[in-house]
Amino acid sequence: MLCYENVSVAYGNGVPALLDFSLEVTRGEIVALVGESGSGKTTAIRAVMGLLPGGGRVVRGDIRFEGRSILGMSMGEWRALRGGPISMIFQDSGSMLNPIRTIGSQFVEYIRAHESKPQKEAWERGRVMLERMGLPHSQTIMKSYPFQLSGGMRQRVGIAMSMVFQPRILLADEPTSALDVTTQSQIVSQMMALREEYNTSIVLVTHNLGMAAYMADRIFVMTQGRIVDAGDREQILKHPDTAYTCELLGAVPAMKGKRYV
Amino acid sequence: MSEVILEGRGLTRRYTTDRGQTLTACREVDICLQYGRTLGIVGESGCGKSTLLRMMTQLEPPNEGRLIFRGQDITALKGEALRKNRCHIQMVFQDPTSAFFGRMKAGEAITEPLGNFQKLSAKQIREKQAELLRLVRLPEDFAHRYPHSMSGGQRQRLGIARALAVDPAVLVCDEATSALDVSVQEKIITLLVEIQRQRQLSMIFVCHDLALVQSLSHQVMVMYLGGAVESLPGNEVWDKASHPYSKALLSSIFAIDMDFDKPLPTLKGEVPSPVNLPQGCAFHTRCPQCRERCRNERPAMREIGPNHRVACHLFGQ
Repeated sequence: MLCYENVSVAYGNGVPALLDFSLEVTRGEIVALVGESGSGKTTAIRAVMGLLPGGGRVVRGDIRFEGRSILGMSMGEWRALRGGPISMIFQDSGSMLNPIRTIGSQFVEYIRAHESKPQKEAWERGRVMLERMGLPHSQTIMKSYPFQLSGGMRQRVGIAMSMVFQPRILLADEPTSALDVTTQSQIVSQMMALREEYNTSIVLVTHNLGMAAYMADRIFVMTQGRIVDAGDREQILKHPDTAYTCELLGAVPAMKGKRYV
Repeated sequence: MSEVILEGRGLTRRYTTDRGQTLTACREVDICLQYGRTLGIVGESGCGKSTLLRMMTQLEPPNEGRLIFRGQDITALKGEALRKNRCHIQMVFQDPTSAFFGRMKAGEAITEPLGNFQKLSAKQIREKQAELLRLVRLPEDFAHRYPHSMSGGQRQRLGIARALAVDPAVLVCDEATSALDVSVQEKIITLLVEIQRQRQLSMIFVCHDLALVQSLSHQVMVMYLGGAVESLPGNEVWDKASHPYSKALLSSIFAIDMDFDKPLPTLKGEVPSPVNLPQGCAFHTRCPQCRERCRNERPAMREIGPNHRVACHLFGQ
């Protein structure tokens, strides 16, 4: 479905943030990119959406979606793809939302940008989506401003928006890092349910190895713009190939793990 | 039983919102830090852990309750006495980037607190800078560098060096490693534990990561909505945590040693507003084991084992 072929991305200063990155995501699959800051994991998914900050650009290789090169598309074609068949969840959906407009008005705008629909129908569709995400009092939330909601609720609004058009592929950039652990497990359950329900493929970017292992069919460990280790949960956690993965695993605090005192 | 160095009894802090309502950020928290030990505090956002820290470090006075340091009541200290006392309790902050003034060199920044308590010659200051940098394993020439030219981990080391400059008895770490990558986090924790052993430092470590907190704390306190719900030894957290909220926290952790085939249990709903605290037990609105009594009566902390106290009606009696 989504296919990276030897992609390299460079930012303004010429230092490549992503080097020779190849990855293939199949239908209904959850793939996790894990690594520490600066490993290029976010760059990898932002490249698909054309959201590379600060003059970042793909300097080599190609990204294909269902066989077609994304990089060769016209602006119009690309725009139709983004937010429709491919959508993205950001680390902090709160900052994606306009603070001086209600959730409802932004949701309606988003829906009508992709489909010509009467105002009322779009509103209803947004409201139903919020309800599906486990948000009670959806009517009140539609009329609220972002600051009136908790971080967990805003994140669910973000996921609801990204799921309206039942994307075939969902790119999730640290979707739960800003949230508390009990909220985090709620969001993870909901993302897993999306796959069950719509057979959505998910590319999950996270620094949380435990969460990656819980959600993903395949895990890719990245550092300095390269994939250094790949495999399923069993392989990565039990039989890591590289020293870097071992080091990373050793540093993750665990309940039954190393004690300092 | 070792000696208690810092103790809070019934600490309560209320704020008035701009609509005139009362927000209870912390209510009747008993906290006890033993000499040379680490007390870990966990809880989710809005549980009052930062407010508790602000009271423990005397950045804010409690509305009710008392703070006792080395057997002396320091709650009512004012002016010069309060200022002098500050050198005993120092703090490491969450975000090492914003914790430093960008135009001050690292060396000046870490010895700046010293000037508040003693007069030192330029030579003594330079010696102190070198000593502090060695303590946190940074090269001595870092004294002439600016914080922005360092990595997050190095800056956090500076944060620790600054907090230790006045040789405090108690070090308070507020999410000191949350902004760092796991491999850097591990190094900082190792450093803190080492310094603690060397100097017999007592630490309060606040963090939302239960797995991390229990691994470095002698005692762990779990907070929910302004109150302490459970307090138990760090090495017993996994086996003996009893409060339904502590158990929910434990089961929501994604750890690399978790049981991946078990369905994910989730707590329903949201944390209630601290402006409108629920009647009875603060956790009853989300508790899977809620009973009639929980809705009406607020449970007190009760001892259920050695150093293990729980505030829940399911236990005791």
